[in-house]
Amino acid sequence: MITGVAEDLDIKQRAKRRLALPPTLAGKIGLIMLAAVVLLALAGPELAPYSPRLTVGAPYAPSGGHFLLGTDVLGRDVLSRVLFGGRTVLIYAGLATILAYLAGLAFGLFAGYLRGWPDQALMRSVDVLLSFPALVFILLVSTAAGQGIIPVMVATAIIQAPAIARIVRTATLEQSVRGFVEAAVARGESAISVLRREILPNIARPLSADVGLRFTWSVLLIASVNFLGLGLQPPAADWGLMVSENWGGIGANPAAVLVPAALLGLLCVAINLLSDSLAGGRQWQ
Amino acid sequence: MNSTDRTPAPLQGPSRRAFLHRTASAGLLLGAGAGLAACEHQTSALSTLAKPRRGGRLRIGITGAGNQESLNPSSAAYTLINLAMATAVFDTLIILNPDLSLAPGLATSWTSNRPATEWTFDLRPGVTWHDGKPFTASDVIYSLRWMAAPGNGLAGLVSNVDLAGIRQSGTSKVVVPLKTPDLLFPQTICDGYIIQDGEKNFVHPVGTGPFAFQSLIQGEHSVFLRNPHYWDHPKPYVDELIIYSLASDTARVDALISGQIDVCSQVPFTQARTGLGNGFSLLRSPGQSAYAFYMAVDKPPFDDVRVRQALRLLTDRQQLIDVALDGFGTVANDLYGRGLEFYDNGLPQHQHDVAEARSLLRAAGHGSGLTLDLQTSDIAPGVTAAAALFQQQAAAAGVTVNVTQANPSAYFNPAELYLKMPFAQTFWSGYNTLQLFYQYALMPGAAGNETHWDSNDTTSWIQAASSASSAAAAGRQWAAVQQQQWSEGGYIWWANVDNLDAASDQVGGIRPGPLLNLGLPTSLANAYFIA
Amino acid sequence: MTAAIQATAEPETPAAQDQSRPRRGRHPLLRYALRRVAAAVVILLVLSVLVFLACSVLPGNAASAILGKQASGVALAHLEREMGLNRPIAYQYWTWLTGLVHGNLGNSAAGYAAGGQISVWSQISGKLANSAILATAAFVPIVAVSLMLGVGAALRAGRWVDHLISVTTLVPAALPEFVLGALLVGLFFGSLHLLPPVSLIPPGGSPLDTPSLLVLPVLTLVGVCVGPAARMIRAGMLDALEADCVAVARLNGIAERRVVIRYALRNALAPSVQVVAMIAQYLIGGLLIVEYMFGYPGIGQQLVNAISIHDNLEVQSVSMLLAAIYVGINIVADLVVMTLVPKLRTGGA
Repeated sequence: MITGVAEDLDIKQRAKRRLALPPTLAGKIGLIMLAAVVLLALAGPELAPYSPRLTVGAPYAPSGGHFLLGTDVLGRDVLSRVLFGGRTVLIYAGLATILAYLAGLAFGLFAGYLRGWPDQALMRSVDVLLSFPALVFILLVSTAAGQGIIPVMVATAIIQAPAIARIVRTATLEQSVRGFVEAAVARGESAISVLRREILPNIARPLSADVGLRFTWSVLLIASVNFLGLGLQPPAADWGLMVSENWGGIGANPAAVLVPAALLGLLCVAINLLSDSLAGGRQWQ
Repeated sequence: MNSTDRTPAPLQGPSRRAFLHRTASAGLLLGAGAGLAACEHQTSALSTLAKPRRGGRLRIGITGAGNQESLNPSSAAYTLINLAMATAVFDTLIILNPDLSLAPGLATSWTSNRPATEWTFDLRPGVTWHDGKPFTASDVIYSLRWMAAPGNGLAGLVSNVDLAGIRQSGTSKVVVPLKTPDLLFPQTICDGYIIQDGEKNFVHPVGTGPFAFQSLIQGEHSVFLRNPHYWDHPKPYVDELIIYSLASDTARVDALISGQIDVCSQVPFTQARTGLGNGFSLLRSPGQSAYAFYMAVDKPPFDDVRVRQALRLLTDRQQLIDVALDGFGTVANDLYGRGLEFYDNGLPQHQHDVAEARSLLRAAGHGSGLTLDLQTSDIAPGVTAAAALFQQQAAAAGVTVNVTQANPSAYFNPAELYLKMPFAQTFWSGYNTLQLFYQYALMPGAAGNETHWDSNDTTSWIQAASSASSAAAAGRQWAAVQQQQWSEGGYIWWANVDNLDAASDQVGGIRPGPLLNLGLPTSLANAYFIA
Repeated sequence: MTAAIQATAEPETPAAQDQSRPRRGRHPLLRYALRRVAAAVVILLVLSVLVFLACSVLPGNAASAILGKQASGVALAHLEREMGLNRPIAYQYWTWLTGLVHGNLGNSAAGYAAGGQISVWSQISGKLANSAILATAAFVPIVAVSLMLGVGAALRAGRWVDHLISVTTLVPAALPEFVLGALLVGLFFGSLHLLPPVSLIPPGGSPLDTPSLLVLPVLTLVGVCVGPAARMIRAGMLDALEADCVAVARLNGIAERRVVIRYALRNALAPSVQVVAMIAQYLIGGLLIVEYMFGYPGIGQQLVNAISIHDNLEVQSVSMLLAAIYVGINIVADLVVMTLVPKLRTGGA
């Protein structure tokens, strides 16, 4: 059968498409916004005029003068903290998303390929996890494990993994009954090999459609938990944490709250625009 | 010796709640500096001049405590809101005014025998409970014994009382014998709420206080109606009292500004600094509450007194006050109790001296640097900010401080973190005699011994001071205790915090004081709307 | 918040499972419902064990939460005995579970503190009602607006209206609830002085007496939720518009309007019901943040407070309550889909 070869070509074509620029204007704008925010987050610390943890002035000094964005609750330079504060957002939300995908992939591939009782067991566990409100789950886990950002991150990953596992499982199920997979099995390839070479590349597309959204959700969930005071702890510089700790001074120096909030929003909007455009709306189904 | 069981109120919840447990201070302030007694208070200009108007519904917003809100007077110590509710419904034998003077409550007068081992209280005639029953001596006797029950938050008040010997004398006197002499027993018993003989259930509490209980929904509000038969005519002035439980600081202040409440307790420093706008006044008073860092003196490196002294020297107290408290505080001198009787004002103020701190650390073997772990928690406004600032200040002397933040409930819970942290923060409030504080904080095995202090000298000085029969003798012993604490103790007391509340200009009668927020315990009965 | 609407458990259609056997027996809907309820009960049981275990791992317990600094020695032991916290864990679990099943959530720790008895239900029933009011007040506009926007955008797919809707719904949806809420408060209270920033409900009153209290919380929830919901409706509608039967109907010359109403909308019904269910489930999480922010006296705020003070009994019971509602929404949604879309029942084309 030549399906194997044809599929190979298909993969290469798809890869090329994935790397192309987003087709719509909105997508391009999203890409630019995303690049700007990521650049700010990663390179920001090099540009910060002050240390993010040093008190340099009176609390909630308004913007202008020495401090472009004023000072925060502890008299620290808001601009510097904003420049430092993107990294933790990207890192923790990123890690949570990656963990979610790893777990979801592992379980989904396992269940979809083996079928039978592992599939049933997995799907029932997925049902259980999906039957619990996400934020409540994260609050419970993070409180049980002690306050801090790591339990929140792990809990965020756990709560997203089931949905990914389900997508992966369905896609794996579909793929594993296709001819080229049967051919590979007939050739005597091991399960791992089949999974890696035949199935994995073909489920990448349904997965990649919502990477952006998953990441956005991780950002928002973690920011919300930080807002409730149950995640990242001061004196860390983090956009989500800055919103909640400077809340009381929103009248005195609104920039301390609004700038990190705007950046969080920009990040999420950019990702949404971009992934929307890449998924092509309806064109690529 | 008795170990008091009174606790500075615990804090919990997502936002900060302050707990106060008040005690009285002596009527005389021996050697007290200008300090707390001569505190300035700002009340609205109108309120001091206008006549009280009868009637109206007073709505007060207080930091909420969720399910810990209760009208059981034994839990009044735990949170400000419980204390406010208790003072609305119940009375005490003696009333403590916001300026720390004593006034008759359910007892019209009180005397003691020569050695101060027996106190006699004359009970006020003609007082009735909210359910109509007459107030009698048996209520007082029952209340004192009830306070001593295990688990009762007020047990410390009667720890020195010979409970079996309490007796009625005549129709309206109660004699209270003590185990050891105590000149300040009236100040102590000021916090003891009097309940009905035989009462155990406070779901629908009955008291003799200015307001009768109507309803309570934890975490939301409680409602009280004016007691028309209150013994202190013509109070209370308002017809109805609603206490709203509002955990979030911004929610409380917003509610005041938008007119949803008339009085707001514990205004956050920032808002106090920026002002509340027209029609509202800040009620501010230098306060009794003090904030401290503490070190467990039995754990290295804090077991070396030079390290403790060095850490005190590298604390820039004024900066902590300016930044963490937005200026709403006064510098403290590593001693608790400024303004209280027997407080030693003669000890020089510890200064910020980084060079000296460094040389002490070098002498102690930490010349190449020291790393410490500080555990903080959002237990009161400004505490976590102070931790972050301290971290910066310590770095200037080569000390690296890692700050971790713990849950406020766990922080004061002996089953979780309390008394197990080698380097942490605390705030104390309302322990208005040195006796009550030191018995609680410095006696080995005491429930508040944060610094794990265990010294025979200190113990014997405290015991002698508490049962001294003359002020002079007490003064000598307290001086010894304080000298030791000032030079070698495990506390870094860095500030006395102002009490900050706010009220609409339509409300009068609330006098801020150093003792508690909102001018408690007398303000609820005194409050009125301007005519 | 786009992905904050979680995927729900797969609707198990009877058709998908019994394709090989001839359909037999009456009331397939009833049997389906029963099977789903049975599955839900199993899920809830498993969840109850997990929640109970998680809460028993939480530091402290309900007794120490009440006693605070007094939580040691005689006082703590005494209160724990009264509250039954010294019994073996399995026993506590069993008592709690059987209580839940009978609708008895146990006695509140607050009651023990007051020396009397206050049932947990009496404490949370009012808050549950308040949350229900807020949720409904948000649910109706979210559903209505997202249906309008989603269907409208789908019908004009690719045109400027579509893009406009897409972009305007994108921005608020990308903000966390607390940020959007803060901006709204700043606008309506700070600048315009129109609406109260705190949901203070006077005693004896209900939120319905002062509807202005509801506006900001509802606006926040609507702002965050409408965008993603509208997009999902749009996607479902587009799918329906491209279904074979619609193409056939068009080819047969039926008027577009009728095609839309009779064929497309009908086919879009099933996924739309799923979206509506997701909205309801989102609200459960959304309420937590919004109630906390605005001080709205509902069950979400209750849960956040209970978690903060380690009142484990309260956390357990409220979590299970919310989980049961969550699962119930799934079942109801699937039943509605079953009823509206007969072919799913029979498995026919």
